[in-house]
Amino acid sequence: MTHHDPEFCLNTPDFADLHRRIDRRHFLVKTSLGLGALATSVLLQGCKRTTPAAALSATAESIGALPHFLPKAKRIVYLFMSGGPSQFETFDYKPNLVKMAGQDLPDSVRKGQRLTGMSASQAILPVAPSLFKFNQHGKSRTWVSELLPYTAGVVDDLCIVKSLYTEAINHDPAITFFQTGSQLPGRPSIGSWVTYGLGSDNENLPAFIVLVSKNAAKDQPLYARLWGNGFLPSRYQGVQFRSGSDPVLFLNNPDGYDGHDRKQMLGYLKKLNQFQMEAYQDPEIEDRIAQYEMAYRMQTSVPGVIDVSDEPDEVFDLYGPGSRDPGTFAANCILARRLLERDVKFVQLYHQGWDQHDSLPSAITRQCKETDQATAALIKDLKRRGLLEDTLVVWGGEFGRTVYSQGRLTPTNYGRDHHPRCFTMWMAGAGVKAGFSYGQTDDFSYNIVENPVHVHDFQATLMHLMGVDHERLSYKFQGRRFRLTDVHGKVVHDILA
Amino acid sequence: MVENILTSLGRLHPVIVHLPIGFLVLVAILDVASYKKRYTQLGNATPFVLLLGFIAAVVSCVFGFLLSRTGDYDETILVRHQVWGILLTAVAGGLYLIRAAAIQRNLNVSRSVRTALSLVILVMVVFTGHFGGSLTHGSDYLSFKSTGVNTANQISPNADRIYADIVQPILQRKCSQCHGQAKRKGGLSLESLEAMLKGGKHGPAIVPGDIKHSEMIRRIFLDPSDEDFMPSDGKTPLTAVETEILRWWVGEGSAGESLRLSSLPDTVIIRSLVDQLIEGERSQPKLTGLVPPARVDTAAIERLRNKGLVVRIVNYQRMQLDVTLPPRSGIRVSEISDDLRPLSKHVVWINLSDNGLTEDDLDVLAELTHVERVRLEKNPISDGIVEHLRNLEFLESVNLNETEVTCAGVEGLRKNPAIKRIYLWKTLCDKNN
Repeated sequence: MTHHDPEFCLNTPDFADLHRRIDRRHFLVKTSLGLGALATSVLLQGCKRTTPAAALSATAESIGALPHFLPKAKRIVYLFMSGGPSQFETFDYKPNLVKMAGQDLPDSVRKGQRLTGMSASQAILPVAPSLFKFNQHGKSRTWVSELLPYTAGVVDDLCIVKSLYTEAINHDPAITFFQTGSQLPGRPSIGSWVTYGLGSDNENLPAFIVLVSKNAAKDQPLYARLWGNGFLPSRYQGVQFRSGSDPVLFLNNPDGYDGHDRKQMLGYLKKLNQFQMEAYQDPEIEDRIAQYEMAYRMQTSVPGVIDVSDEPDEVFDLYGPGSRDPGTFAANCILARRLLERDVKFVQLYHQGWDQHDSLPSAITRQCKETDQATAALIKDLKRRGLLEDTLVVWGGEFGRTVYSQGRLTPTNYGRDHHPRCFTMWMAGAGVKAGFSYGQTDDFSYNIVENPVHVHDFQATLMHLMGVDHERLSYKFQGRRFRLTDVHGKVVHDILA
Repeated sequence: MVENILTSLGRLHPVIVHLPIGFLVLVAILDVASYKKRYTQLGNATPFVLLLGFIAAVVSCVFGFLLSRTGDYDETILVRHQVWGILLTAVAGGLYLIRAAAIQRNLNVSRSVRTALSLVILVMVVFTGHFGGSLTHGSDYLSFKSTGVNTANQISPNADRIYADIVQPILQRKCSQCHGQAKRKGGLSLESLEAMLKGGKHGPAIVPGDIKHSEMIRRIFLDPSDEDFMPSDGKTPLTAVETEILRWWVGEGSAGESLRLSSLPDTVIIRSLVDQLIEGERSQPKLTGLVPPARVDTAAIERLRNKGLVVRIVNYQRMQLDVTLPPRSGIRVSEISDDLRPLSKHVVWINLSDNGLTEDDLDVLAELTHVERVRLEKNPISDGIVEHLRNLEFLESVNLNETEVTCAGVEGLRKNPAIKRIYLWKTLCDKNN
């Protein structure tokens, strides 16, 4: 497959355009034949876009035709539990800790590894067993905490990885690392990489949509750059829907305007933008043109997606309390399902409030109540609709928490500090083993003893499930080719179905 | 560490060895050519070229010796190659000494003797090279039986004996270059069933009836980027059909030597696999097993897109397509059937949900012979749909949620052994109701 084959750019016309622009030969013919014609056809015909079987630049050729191989997942919904959920109270069952409760963490476990500045100066690092009971569930007999009764009910659909690890010890670098593959801001988010590489399956909606829970403790902030496009063209950034009854503002025409000449107006605006484009060749102008067109199409497509009045009561009951209140985690899960049904490729939810340095028992109980039922409901709902077989569901935070209590340990209360050396995530659905647990930590869930999975490995695996070879999807910026996994990452084949 | 370096150097032998071949052949050419007046002066160059040839031959011998220690090769041929190689080096060295002496007039050897000796070296190069070639390519590589396409490895349309007519030819063309009689990488030969059961360094290649412990099956199914993947080093991998046949033969077939297609029941999957294999060879004798063909009717894709469908290539290796008719599109299937037909071997996923379709609209489904996932939910479809889906042999998943199918229809659908998942939420056959 070379760029001379007409099939090459069939999937990702945007992607093709982008590289054509870089290509000098096309640069020269641009003013007469360029993107304008293509963009016009988009605006006038909606999704009835024609793809010119034109040549691609050498850059595109080195990336290869995407997807690189048959994907397992068509879409992803990533439930980001921001703050770092404790593995001890959720999935990583450590019964032996009870015997050690209150004792100083043995040096043989910690091996002199560094702690965060928040607990490094504690006189004692008292071992804190989970206050919550664990039980085995499902055919897979997987241990799940009593805080997650609904998740326990779908445990046979989950692929639980207990051996994630990261290098970052604080929230922002750690989330940035998970979302972009680098602890420093500035790189594109996973969703941007995926949609840049694979294009859109529904041109009437953004391919990468972000939903943030309104009903979470905002203990740690989120920034829009977490779903930002970095150096990729800005049309690939995640589009955040507002958390409330009006997720996208100004969909309706203002009073006194019927909107019938809007198309004409946008047509003129585009012409103006194109004059500018021809003069300055700033690719951001094209992104702006594309975004105007997307906004125009969203006026028609979004109301149907966000209007949940056609959902039967049974659905709201399934997702649990809060599901009727727009902007909550539960309501966002329903919205996510509706977006996935419409083939939105990457839906990312964020739920903050997992950063429990103190009062962990009460805080984590609340967090689980807010998320457990809707999370399990999302899995059940996707499954019965036949969507789980080509949708990947991901659940997890940016790091784990320490076995010892930060601050005083009492019989009813404790806190846990950040712990990057091991933590638990799970995936479910397309292409991953169901009812399966992977990786093991030591008795203190302090270090990994079996099958470590680095953040880059997780990212590589996620890309693999989407049909992308993470080593081949790159973007040249400031003289260097960048990729999501930098120079690291190995696909975790053991968890693939 | 040192051991690894030495082995790696040894692997250079097949490259290095072409240097002495070139030099020594050139010596013979120079000698013969210098008989002609025009080229007389070329004779002066022979001692120098001969010296180069000799040095290169010595280096080749050393590298060859390092390579031979890996033990991947047939002993008899290896010894012959070694003896001839060393002898050749010795003769080349000897001839150089004679020539060098002749230059200094200490020795008087007639020109014709010198030329004869160069020709002897030429013959020795041929023999040594032949044995070396047999080691890497197998001893029948140059046999006159095979002209161009190796007909022995071709699978006959009348193939009946699964092991002899189908499995062995697959192994012959994809594996035997390294795991044959002459060359046995990792100590493994796949020449005979016995040899496979015996296996190599990593245990038996196959364990009858147990694909999990069959090293060969494990390795051919790995991701091509995996270190253990076979065939290694970027050699032509087995096709999907070939790997499935081998897996069936080891697993279900318990690696039987006397299994015959004609004595197996009609429903067995191996039949369709073998059919595909033969079909693939017949239509594309050079690119065996590429099913479906790797080119796709792009004009048909364009037409579908212009009509408002979403068509995406999900696998460029086989040009597999994912086709979606947007919900409530108002498009009738009859309008797109003619564009779907040329893509019938390429469409693997198709989504026609929520378009007011009945089974009468969907005749074209039966023609999508390679389809794996069909989504038909939210359409007023009833049991007649089963007719269209019954014979699709790659169909894995059917979504009939919110349609009017009944349990009777579903029973009929389950007769297609390929189908693994049927979604029946909110139908008359929904188990939860």
